[in-house]
Amino acid sequence: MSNTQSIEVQAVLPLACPPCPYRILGRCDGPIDNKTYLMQGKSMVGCLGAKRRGFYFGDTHEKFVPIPSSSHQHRITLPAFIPSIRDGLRVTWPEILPSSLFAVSLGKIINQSGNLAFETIDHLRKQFNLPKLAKIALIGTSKDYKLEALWKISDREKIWERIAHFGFEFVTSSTYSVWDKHPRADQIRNQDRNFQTHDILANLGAPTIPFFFPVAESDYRAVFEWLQDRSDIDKVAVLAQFYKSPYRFAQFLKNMRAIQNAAQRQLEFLVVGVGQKYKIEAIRREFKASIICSKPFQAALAGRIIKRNLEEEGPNLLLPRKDLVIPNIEQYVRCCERIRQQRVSAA
Amino acid sequence: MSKGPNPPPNPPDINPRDPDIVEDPGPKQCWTFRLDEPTAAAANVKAGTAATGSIYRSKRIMVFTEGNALGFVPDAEAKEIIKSLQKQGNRRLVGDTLSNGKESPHVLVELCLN
Repeated sequence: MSNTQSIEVQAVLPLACPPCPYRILGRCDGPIDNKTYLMQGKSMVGCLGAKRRGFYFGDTHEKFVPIPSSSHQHRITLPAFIPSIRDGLRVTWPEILPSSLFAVSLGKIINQSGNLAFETIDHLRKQFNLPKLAKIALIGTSKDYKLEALWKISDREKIWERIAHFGFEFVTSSTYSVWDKHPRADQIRNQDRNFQTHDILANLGAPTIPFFFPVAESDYRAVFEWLQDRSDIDKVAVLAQFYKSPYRFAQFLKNMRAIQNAAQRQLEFLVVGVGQKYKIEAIRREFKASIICSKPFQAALAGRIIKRNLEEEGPNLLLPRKDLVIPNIEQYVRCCERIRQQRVSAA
Repeated sequence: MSKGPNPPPNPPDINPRDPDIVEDPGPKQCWTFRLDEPTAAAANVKAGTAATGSIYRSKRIMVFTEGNALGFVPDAEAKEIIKSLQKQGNRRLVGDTLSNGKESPHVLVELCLN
């Protein structure tokens, strides 16, 4: 046996051994593979060092967060489509808005050091030139570096309190990244951080929707157990952004089915980051779902107009780019409502 | 349902949360108990080792020394601790082991809210 083989064989043992907190809690069946198991660095907890693993377990779990008596989801009505707003275009909004609700990602409201860049929802509306009546939901998506910066200062700067009292129509939990090829300790920790931010925000009275990122079978069990303790939750969020190819999208649907099965109750999904019509139809065929994407804005930024089939056309050189946002949103709203109606009729 | 297969290049460093400012921590409260469901690591622990408590899913409290999970706080004490934490949520559980794991893996532990 070579030295490398010896290291690999021995290295498998610590995560699978009794002192690993995740194993004791039934959250881990041991390493997924040697490569992820051996990964180390400042950007991860990793599985090799018990001290580092224990330290970050403590960081995640040393504070008591009560199970919320309610996630206040009865106050949330999800439309068929919610446009995700972006900066970069100074849109002149009409009196009757093209959407009853807008979404903004967490990454857009926090600065490089993780602190809130806005103090009030009016300040945020002003940034996007939205009228006072525009309702905004906060989606907990962001680049990892901002999420990590936010985590560091979240208690000291009372970030979650400030978000909960910001005046959003609803908020989602954070989306600490769970990657397939990441150490198991990091996958579980980030799932736990997403669970925990849901509870923190719900305890503060914000209508909150949790994001789920289960990878292994034990993660689906954890979702089930977590939902069992929160019987009022019937809306959950999933991120479709990284499931682009047809093969990956098929996997995404499979994962949605697994979450629905694990929940053992009828769920309404908030699907973030899906823009193609066939994908929206496929999701709606099987699930009660609301769609969030920024494609109407992104297309407008590129001078493109969205057609009835949600394909892009252009660039359109006749209209200023800012004037394309509203018709693009309207196409999405109409299309998603049509798809929703078709499902209702079929049912 | 991960975000994708691989993390992006140059992922950011991770850091623990900065401590929040607790204006009035309240009186110190301590609990002494023998570990429930001790792990193999508990058998090797020495008396006087610094210990911490971590609360998992708002229900179970796990005892750690030097990064290793030793076992759980028994249910009765865990309920009391959680009740106290519900009143003063921003406090952390720290303490020491009071007995050697070699004598019994059900190590005697003192954890205090501070």
